[in-house]
Amino acid sequence: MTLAALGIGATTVKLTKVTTNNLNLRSGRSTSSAVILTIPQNTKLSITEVIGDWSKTTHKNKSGWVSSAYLKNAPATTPTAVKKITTNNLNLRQANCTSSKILLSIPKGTTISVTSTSGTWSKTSYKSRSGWVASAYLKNVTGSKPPTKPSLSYRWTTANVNVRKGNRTHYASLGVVPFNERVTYISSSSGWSKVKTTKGTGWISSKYLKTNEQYAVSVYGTLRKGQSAYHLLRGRTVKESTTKLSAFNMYLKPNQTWWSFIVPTTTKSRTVVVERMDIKPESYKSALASLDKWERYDANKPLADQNYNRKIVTDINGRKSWAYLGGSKISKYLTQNGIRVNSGDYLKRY
Amino acid sequence: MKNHSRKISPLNSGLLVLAIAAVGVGVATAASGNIWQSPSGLDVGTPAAGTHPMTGAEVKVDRFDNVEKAAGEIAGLVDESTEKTYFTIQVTHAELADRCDARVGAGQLRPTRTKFLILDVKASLASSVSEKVGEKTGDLYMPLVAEAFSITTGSGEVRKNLTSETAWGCLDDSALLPAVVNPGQSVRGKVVLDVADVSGKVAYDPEGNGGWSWPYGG
Repeated sequence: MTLAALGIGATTVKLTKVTTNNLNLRSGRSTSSAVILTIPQNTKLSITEVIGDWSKTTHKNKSGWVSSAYLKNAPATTPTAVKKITTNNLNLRQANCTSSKILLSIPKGTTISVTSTSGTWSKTSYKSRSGWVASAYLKNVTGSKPPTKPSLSYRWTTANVNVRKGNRTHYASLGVVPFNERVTYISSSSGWSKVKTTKGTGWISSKYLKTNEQYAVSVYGTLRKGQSAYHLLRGRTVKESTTKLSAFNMYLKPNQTWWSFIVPTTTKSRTVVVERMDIKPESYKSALASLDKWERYDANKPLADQNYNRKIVTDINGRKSWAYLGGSKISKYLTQNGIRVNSGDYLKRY
Repeated sequence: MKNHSRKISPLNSGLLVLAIAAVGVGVATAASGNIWQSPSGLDVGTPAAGTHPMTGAEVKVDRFDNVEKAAGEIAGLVDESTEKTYFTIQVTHAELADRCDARVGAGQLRPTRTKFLILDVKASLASSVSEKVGEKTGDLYMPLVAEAFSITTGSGEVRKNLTSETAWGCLDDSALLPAVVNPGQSVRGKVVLDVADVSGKVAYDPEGNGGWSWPYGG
């Protein structure tokens, strides 16, 4: 699919993201671009540019593009300072050894901030003097965990959920935010998140928010409702709606008309009919795993070599979803004798 | 392809010699768009059987241009001038089955026709094929999907529609043959076909105009 077809522009950014899978770093913004190297799961990356569904980054001195679908926001930076309490009157020394000069004495019971440690010594500052104290005379501050400061910008709702004026259920609702809406995260308190939504800025219970968008799955062939592979989705959806993808062709193999695949085209007027399957949050992971397995799709293998690739597509209403597109090599092979479905609708393929 | 001249003769290894190698080697250049095609400048010849370059033994070719191989015999493409092997394919085992383990879920699947024909296949494509055909390695491959296979029944009918939803749903991906073999790769795995005939010949014939066949069933 071309970026132009998606109507997505470039954005220069400075983001920190974490890989959610082993992820190919490619020379270009396409799955057909050469794989430079594979970045392991849970690797923190600096993103410098975002174009469409692709993010530019550098790993092991190699620059390239990775699919944004496999990135999540980096967790909040661990606070560099840890609060401790002195258990005795404690000497603050210039260096981390007992022979070092004593700068001053810190009274017992004083809360200090430890910024680093070295062996049995902790670095801190007290009354504008920085130095080292023996860690043996420090204890943790009970009941006060380091504040977590989520660095995430967005959350996605996992159900139709009230956004309230305050962080309790007795606060009035500003309205119901629909399932899978992207909301802007502001802060959190007592299991609630303050967010900016289409219903206004308010509070949503954090248990109804996810840090990653849960995309629907757009299906077009035997996975459609009532078709032979629909059993993989039955009972796992919260909503099923028909829509279209533009700039795609649908093909069938001659005499093998149960088997269909779609491939991008530069002709924007070509459309395929898809059923957008919104998956229940509790079924999302298992449903996607089942579909991947069924289509023999493995994100960790070369995409061009597979029958199908699960990719993000945008429907004619601008909504994104996953779809299983024909892998580039097999699509090229099969389309030489394939039949294009003029209607773009698998149910009207004859 | 039937109109092209092709010399075929077996080597000791059972490989084929084509006067100009690379039948069915897919090229996906920018210019070719979504169309898979044989590389330009590489013709494949008439199905006139050649002879073994050393023994002079005749190579049998059926009326569908498939070179007949014995069960388990290797087939492939060799550059006649250099005797360099570019592509090999081998159906090492062919089994008929009434059911298969489903890839998704714990159940078993049944064929929509009479039997599943489960082939054990080995294939390789030499890394040097790109030098031979003058294309980039990334643009060259051989398709290994079920659609590249056909069967010839005992009565001589060719059946090309051998796939089904249940055949597609058989076996874990790790047991199945990859969809393609690329230059420098050797791959192996199973291909599941859904057949109405319990004996005949199964052919690897990716372009539908001549490949290699092995007996099954019976």
